[in-house]
Amino acid sequence: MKPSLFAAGILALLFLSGCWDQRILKDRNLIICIGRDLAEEGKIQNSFALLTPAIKQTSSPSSSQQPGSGAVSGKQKNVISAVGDTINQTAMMMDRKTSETVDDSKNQAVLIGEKLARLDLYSTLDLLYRDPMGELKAKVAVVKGEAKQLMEHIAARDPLVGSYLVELLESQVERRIIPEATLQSIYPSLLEHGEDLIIPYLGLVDGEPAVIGSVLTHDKKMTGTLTPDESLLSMMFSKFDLKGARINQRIGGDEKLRTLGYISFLVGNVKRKMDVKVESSSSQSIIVDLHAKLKVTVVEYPHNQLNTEAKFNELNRKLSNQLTKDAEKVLHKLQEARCDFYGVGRQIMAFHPETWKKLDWDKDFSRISFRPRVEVEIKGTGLIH
Amino acid sequence: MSRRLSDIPTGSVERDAAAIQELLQYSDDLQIQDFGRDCEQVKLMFFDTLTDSQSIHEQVLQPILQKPGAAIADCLPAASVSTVQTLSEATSYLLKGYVIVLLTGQQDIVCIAAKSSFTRSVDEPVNEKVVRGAHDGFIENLNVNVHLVRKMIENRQLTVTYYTIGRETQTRVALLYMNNLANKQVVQEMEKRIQAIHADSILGTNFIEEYVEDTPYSPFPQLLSTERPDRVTANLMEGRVALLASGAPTALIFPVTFFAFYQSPDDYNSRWFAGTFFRLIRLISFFIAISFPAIYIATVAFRFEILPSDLIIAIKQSIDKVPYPPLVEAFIMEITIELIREAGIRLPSPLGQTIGVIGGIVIGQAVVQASLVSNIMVIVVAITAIAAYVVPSNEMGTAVRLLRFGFMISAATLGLLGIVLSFTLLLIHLCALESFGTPYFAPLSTGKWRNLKDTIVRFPMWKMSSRPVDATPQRNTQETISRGWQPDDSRE
Repeated sequence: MKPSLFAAGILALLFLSGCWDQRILKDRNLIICIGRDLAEEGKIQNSFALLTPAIKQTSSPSSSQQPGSGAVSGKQKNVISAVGDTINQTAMMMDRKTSETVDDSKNQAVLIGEKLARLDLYSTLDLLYRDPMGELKAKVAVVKGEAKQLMEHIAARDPLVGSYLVELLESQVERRIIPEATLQSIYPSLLEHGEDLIIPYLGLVDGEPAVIGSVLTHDKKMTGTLTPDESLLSMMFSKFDLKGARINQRIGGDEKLRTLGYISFLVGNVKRKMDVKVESSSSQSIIVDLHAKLKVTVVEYPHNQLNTEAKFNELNRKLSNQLTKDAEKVLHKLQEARCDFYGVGRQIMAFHPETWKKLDWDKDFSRISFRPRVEVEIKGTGLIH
Repeated sequence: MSRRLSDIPTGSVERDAAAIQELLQYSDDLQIQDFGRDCEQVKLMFFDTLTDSQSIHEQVLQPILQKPGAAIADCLPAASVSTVQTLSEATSYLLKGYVIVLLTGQQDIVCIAAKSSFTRSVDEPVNEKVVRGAHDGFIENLNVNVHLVRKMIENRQLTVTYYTIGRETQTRVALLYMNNLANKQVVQEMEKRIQAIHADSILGTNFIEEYVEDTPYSPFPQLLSTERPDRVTANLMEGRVALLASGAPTALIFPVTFFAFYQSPDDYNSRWFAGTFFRLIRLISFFIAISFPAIYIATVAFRFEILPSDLIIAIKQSIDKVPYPPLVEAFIMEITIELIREAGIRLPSPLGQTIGVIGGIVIGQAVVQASLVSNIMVIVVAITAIAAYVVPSNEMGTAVRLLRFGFMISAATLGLLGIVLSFTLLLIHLCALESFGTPYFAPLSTGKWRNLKDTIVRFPMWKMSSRPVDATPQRNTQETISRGWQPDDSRE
C-alpha cells in the first residue's frame, strides 16, 4: 500500500470516527446531591439537586433580587424528584424533566431518608457504587425525616446543595462529632460481618440544616441514633481520630451561674486499647475492656485556679470518672442497637473461632459486657489555638 | 580561449582598465583615477561604494606620491598589499573593497586594501537578553564575529576554517572549533555537507541550517542558533562546533541535544540554585506550552470528573454560554494569540503597545463578555502563550507552538488517551532524532545519567568535572580539583 494512502486511512479513522465518546461538560446537567426516600407502597422517591439551575441562580444575582414576581416562580427548580419502583426508573423519569443530560459523576453527597435507612441501606447505595462514572468520594448521611425536604431547605438558601452539605459534614468530622463517611468507605463495610458502621445524621434544628448526631447501623440497615455528644464519646474507643475534639463536661455542684460548673477541654493525643476476653463460649462470659487515655488541654475553666498539682489530680480524677460513666451509657446504646462499632465480632472471629461458631452475634452482641475506662490527663492550660 | 587570453593584463593601462570595466558591467560606482608618476601613467580603480576615500588618500595616494623613485609595491604598508596576475582576480579584489593600481608596462596588478566598513556596534542581541553576564552580540560582519570569539578564547587550538558558498552571492562561512576538543568526525561531516551546497544564494545561517540538517521534516531544530558570543564560546569549550556566515548575526552550534535549547547563559551567570530552578521552570514550561490547551479540551469534553467539585462549578459556569465545542473555542483563542504575536512583531514599536492593549482588553474581556469564549479558556491560552515564550531559543518556541495544535486535535478526538498517544509519538520521534551523530534526546534516551548534571538541572561548576558526553569531545575532563583548598571531609 502506498504510504500516502495508509496515512489517509489513519487520518480518516481518526477523524471520521467522530466524537462518539465525548461527554461535553457544557451539555451535562451535573447532579450535586442525591436524596433517596421511601415513598408510599414501598416505592422509591429519588431526588436530585442539579448544578445547572444553581449556576443560573448564582450567576445572575441581580435578576433574582429584582422585586418582581415572575422571576422567582419561573425559575428552574433546583431540586427535582420522582417516585418509581426502581432507582433506575426514577432516574430516567427525572432525566426527562431536565434540560440537559443528567450526570452523576460529580455527585457530592448522598442523603437517605430515615424510613428508607431503617429498611435497607445496601440496595439504596448499590447502583451509585457500581457506576463506573460515579463519584465514590460522595458523602453519605442519613436524614431525619425526608431527604428531599432537607435538600429543598438547603437549596432555598444555597443553590449549591452538594458543597453546602460537604462543608457542613466536614466541619463536624473535624470536630470529631461524626466519623468520615463516604460512599467508598461505607458501601464495602456494609457487607462486613463482625463490624458495623456509624453514619452522620442530619436534620433540621430550629429550621437550620444541622448535624444532629449519628446513626447506628447493623446488618445493612439503621438501628438507632446517637446525639452529638454520645457520638463523640463512641468515637473515643474507635479507630477514628479524636484529636481536636472539644468536650464540655459538668463537674461542679449547683453554682448560681451555670458556666461555673463546667469545664471545657480540647482533646490531644488519645491512646486506646481494646481487649476481648473470652472465658467460655457463652456470650455472658465475653468481656471487652475498652481503655482510652486522653491528653487534653483545658480551654475554659471559669474558676481559673489551675495552679496546684493537687487541683490537677483532682480534676483528672473527676473527669475520668465522669467520662467513663458517660461512655458506659453510650456503649449500652450501641448494644441496644446491636451496632458493633468497634469490631468485637471480628476479634472473636479471628482469635476465638470455636466460640464464634456457637454464637448468634445478632442477639449475643447485646449480652456481652463492656468495661470502658477513660483516663484524662490535663496537659495544658495555656493558649487556645 | 579568447577569454583566458584577455584575462592576462596586457600592460597597457587603458586597455586593462577597459577590460576590467567590462568584467564589472561598466558599473557606475567603479571609479577610475588617472595620474602621472615619474612620467608613467597610473590608474587607480576602486568601488567608491566599498572603499573609504580617506584611507585611499592616506594609504595609497600619499605613499605612492611621496616616494617617486621606488616601485609601487615597496611604497605601501606590506600587510594590506597583494599582487595579482589576472584581471578576474583583480576584479574579485575590487569587489572586496580593494583599490587596484594599474601601471604602464606592468603585468602585475597591485591591490591595496581600503575597505570602508559600516558595522553596527556589538550590542546585546534583543531577543537573547540575559540579566548577568556579557552584553555583546554578533553583528553582520564575519570578521568582527570571529574576533569576538577569539577574544574570549585566546588559545591556539581554536581553529577557524573559511568556506565560500552560494554560487552568486559568494557568502563566506566560517567553521569554528577547538582542535583538541571537537570531534573530528563532526567537523568532517559538516565540511562535507557545506561543500555539497549548490545554491545560488545563501542569505544568512538559516539557509545553511536547512541544507545541512539531519532530519529536515522534524519539527524540532537540530542546530542551535544564537547571537551571543559567550554562548558560542561555552559550546566550543564543550567540544561543539560553531558555524558563522557573513551577513548574519547568528551562529549555528552543533551537535546539540534537545536540552541545549532550554539552556541560557543566565543559568551559568547566576548561582547554581537559581540556575537549576530556572531550568526546571523552563522544562515545565515545555509541557505547559505543548499540552495545556489539549488537557483543557480533553477534560471539558471527555473526563470532567477529574476536576475538583469547586473548580467544576466555576468552569461550567463560564462555558455554559459558549456556543462552540471546546476544540473550536480553543482554536479561536490560539489563533487570536498568534495573530497578536505576529502583528506585534511587524508593527513599529510605538504601535506595538497599542496591539498589546487591544489584545489584552478587547480579546481578553470583551470576548468573554460576549460569551464567544469562556474565561477559563482565556486563562488557559494566556498561560500557554507565556509558557511558550519562556523557551530561550526562538526556533524551539516555534516548534512547541506548532506541536500544540496537533495535541489539541488529538485531544479533541480521543480525549486524554489522545494526549497520551501524542506524547508517545513525540517521545518516539525525539528518541529517534539525531544531530550530527549525537542522539538528540540525550541523556534521557541514552541513559547516561551522569550527563543530567548539566541538562535538566545545573550542578555547581565544581561538581561538573567532565564535559557533557553528548558532543563526544576528545577530552573529557574540564575541571579538576578546583576547590582543593577545602579540607577533604567537607569536599565530596
